[in-house]
Amino acid sequence: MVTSSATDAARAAARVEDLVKRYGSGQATVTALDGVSMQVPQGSFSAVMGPSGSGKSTLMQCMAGLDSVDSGRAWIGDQEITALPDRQLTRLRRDRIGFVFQSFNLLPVLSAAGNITLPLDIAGRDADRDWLTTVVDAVGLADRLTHRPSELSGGQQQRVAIARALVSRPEILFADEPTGNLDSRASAEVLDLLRRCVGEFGQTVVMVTHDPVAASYSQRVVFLADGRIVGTLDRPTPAAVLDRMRALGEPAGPGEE
Amino acid sequence: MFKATVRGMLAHRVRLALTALAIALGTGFMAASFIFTATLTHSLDSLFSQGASGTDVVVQHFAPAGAGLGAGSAGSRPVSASLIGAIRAVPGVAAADGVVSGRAVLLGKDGKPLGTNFGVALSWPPDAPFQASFTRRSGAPPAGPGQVMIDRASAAKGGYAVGDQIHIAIGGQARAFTLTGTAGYGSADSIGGGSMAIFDTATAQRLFGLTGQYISIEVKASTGVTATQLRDRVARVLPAGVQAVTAASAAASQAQQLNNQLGFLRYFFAGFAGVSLLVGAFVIWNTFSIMVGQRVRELALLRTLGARRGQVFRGVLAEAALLGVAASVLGALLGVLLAKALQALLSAYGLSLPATGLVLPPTAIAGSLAAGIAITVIAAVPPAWRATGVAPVQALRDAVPRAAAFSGRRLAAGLIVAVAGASLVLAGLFGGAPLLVTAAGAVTCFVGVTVLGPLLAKPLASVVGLPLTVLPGRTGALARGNAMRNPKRTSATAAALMIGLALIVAVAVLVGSAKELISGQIRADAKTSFYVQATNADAGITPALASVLAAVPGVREVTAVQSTDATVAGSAHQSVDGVDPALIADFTSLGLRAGSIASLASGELLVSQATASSHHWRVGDVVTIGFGSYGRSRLRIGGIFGTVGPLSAYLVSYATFSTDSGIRTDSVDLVRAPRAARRALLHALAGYPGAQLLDQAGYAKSRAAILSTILNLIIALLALAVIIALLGIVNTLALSVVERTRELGMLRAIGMRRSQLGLMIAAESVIIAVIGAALGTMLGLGLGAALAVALTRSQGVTVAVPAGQIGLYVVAAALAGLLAAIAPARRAARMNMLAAIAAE
Repeated sequence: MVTSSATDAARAAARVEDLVKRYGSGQATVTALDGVSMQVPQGSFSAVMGPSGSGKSTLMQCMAGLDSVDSGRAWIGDQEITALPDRQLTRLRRDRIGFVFQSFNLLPVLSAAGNITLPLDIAGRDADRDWLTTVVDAVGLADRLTHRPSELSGGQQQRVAIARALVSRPEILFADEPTGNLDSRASAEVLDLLRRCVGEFGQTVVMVTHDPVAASYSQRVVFLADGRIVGTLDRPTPAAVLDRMRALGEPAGPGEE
Repeated sequence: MFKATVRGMLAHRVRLALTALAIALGTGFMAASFIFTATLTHSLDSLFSQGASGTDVVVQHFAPAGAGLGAGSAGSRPVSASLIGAIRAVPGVAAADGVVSGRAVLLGKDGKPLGTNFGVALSWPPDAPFQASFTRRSGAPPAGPGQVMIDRASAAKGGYAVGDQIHIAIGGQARAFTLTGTAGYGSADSIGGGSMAIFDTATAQRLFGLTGQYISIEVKASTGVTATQLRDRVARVLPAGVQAVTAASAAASQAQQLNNQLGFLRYFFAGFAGVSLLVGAFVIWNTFSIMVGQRVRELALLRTLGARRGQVFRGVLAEAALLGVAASVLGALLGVLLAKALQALLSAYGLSLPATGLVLPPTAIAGSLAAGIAITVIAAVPPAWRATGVAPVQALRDAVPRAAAFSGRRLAAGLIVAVAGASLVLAGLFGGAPLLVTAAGAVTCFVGVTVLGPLLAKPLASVVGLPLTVLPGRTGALARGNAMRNPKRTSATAAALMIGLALIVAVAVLVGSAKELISGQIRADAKTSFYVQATNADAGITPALASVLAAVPGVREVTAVQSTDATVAGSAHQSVDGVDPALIADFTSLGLRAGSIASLASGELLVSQATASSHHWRVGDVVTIGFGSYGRSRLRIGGIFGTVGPLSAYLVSYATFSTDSGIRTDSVDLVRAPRAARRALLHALAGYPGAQLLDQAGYAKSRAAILSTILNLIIALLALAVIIALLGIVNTLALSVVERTRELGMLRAIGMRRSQLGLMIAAESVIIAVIGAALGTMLGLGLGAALAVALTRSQGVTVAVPAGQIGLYVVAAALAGLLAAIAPARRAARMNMLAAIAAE
């Protein structure tokens, strides 16, 4: 299934150049991103880490077209998104990007199956049956499809959310603290699933996290502090990530954000 | 605690404003109705006293108690003109003039009536003191036959100037006069919106068949003689049956009489204001319920920090009380504006009254304020009670309100209340209980259905939402799911709309049935093919017209019917007809049940089966009929008829009628002629622009016209209740949007367009509105059918459901739902997506 030739790997699924994002005005101005440039290679699993207020969530939101930037440029594939009007941006998110949120954000009125196919329904497209089966099997929820979110555990809900993100075969999947609301066992399941998406489907994944264990599931960690990239770490281990975080002057650990 | 309440309220200004508006509208309506009726009473008082300003004593025929005073055309019995000499000879009398009055319709230059309001004819008093009633605006008073003075408003409307020729229809027949001048009545340009034609006394006497007679005699006292002294002196020279009253007390009793009629108007308006407040109460209840639900964490935190249940309860009620005070004060101000608008509306319709400022009755306004505050606080009691049930531990739990499970207790309670309400309605309609019991029953029914609401809402939302699932992007399906997820909220929101719609549908069914009854009765009387009646209500047609019509080629037979408003067996405003006993059976089948038609000829009375059974009358019973100052007649019932046809429920002979009532015009001529005679009839009527030719359908329509007007008025008044219910929908949706911030943000993030988001909220709104409309329609059909059966059962049960009209109301409700969604949908679309996702 995976055909990661050298040229494919070299092409970026997402790219940003000199991103600057400020909040507030006058004396109260906070610079969340201060000239960030990075590339996300296709088929890669990247983690963005940093202490609270380092700008990691802002970076993801700007990369994914959820938020505007003050200067700099951002691309999804070859499409520059920085100046895109809302309508096209919405369509881009719908068709080319998948999202997984910390608090699952499933619709309580829909069953698991309804939540999974929601992006297709919104777009008015039919589901590709085979792909849907593949996705549902991958997240291991074939026997839970008729359940409402309130009848599922946190881990199961997050797996539904991942299936929802995968169902439209996005070019890139953004996960914002996907394990923030989960216990360690459920976290491991979700992270393993994300890794398998990369391995088995060639899915590009960008994950924002503050958990060194979570970050260690990725292929490459980008460290952010005060709105700037302060380093990267390939093939991370929890211990190595923790060391880097300590060096950034902030003890990383669960329950901080 | 109180400080926290105020802070909390100020933090949600929009929600506060919407909720306040829901109550303010009801309070405002109530205040406006009181202010308006008080102002109207005051205006009429001053109108009458202005009119009587030049007169001290009025001499007229005495109206015995129970005879009823002539609000309709029932007669003021004339006094002999010869009395005037005796009165002028009384010491202390400075002047005395006879007054002649009647009905006259001013015609425009196109030969058609100038307006549809009433038109009076008066005589110009020869003596100066009495001319003070009229304020001369231009030209000179009429002097001699062929001269007339008219009110300034009509002159302006018709474009008439002094010296012009003007046609005036008297008894329907056009006559030409020369306009000598224009006048006002007191400070107004017209007399209460009607037109005024003033002739000299002799001309008026001749025109109205009152030669040698006056309707009344006005007397002015010499200096130093009081009105009471003069009254007592004049009374001594009067024959039996003729009385002298002071002008002040005559004006007061006229004003009093109108006041009694306005009293009805006051209760009428207050009833609708009550409906608006009731609907407002639903909105308050629902808003507070949602707020308590959303604030579970906050309330639990307060409890964790040591707040007692009582404090939580009082906190919520304090919020309601503050809101109630603010909303009611706003409502009272709104009421003043509304009353001013009503006044402006009336004068735009030509009903110009003497210019007086608004009268603000303090007790009525205080009452409206109290009602508004009380309703708000009472409506907030159930949610406040629920708030006390919040356990401290809930501070740590998810705050999303959960859908209520099916509850057998709710089902039982709802059914019991609904059935109790229905029984009260039926008891009120059929058991002889007062009408208030019916109203209480209807309200109880609403409460019962509201209790059942949460059980009904889910299946109803499912059914109503089904067609919407075809909407693209799953928006319809999501809206349906959202409407179903919180049945309590959906049903409470819909319930407010339900009340308004139930009443509208009930009134539509009732009026539709009454119309059907009328036209059915006229259709049943197939023998009459044409009807000729006055264009302007109660202006009457001249008795001469019947023979004119009878002479038209092709016409087989014509009979004239007289009609008046009379007091029958103590109940006022009953319509009594005078018919020709020999001919009437040729025109209507009557369906005689007992007695004989011939008994009419011997001065007996025929009554309809319906009135006979409601009064338990039988042939041979004696009934008292009061015809204004003509006094009371005691008539024996000579027959009971089943088919009312084009006639009234009480029939006397034409001869009895003329002598007893003093009516000198006919109300309608019944014509038997082939259809082809229409053209010839119209030709014959060319000289009678005040009369119109109608076929059966047209006559039925004209008899039912007042019903259509009433229906439109009631619907206009109930529209306010619907608007308040819509505010409730806006409120619920806005609160739901806030509650679902995270979901909406997620939907935007994964690619739902703003327009789709708006469509989803609009669809949910339409579902709620249609649920309310559907429940309201069902209740309204039941209530309307019960009312219609009660009204028509004695004349053959008629229940007509104006399906098209009701369908229109439901569609209008759905569209209104769409309207209600605009603001919340915009709010949702504008919502910051990132904040939405981050919101915890």
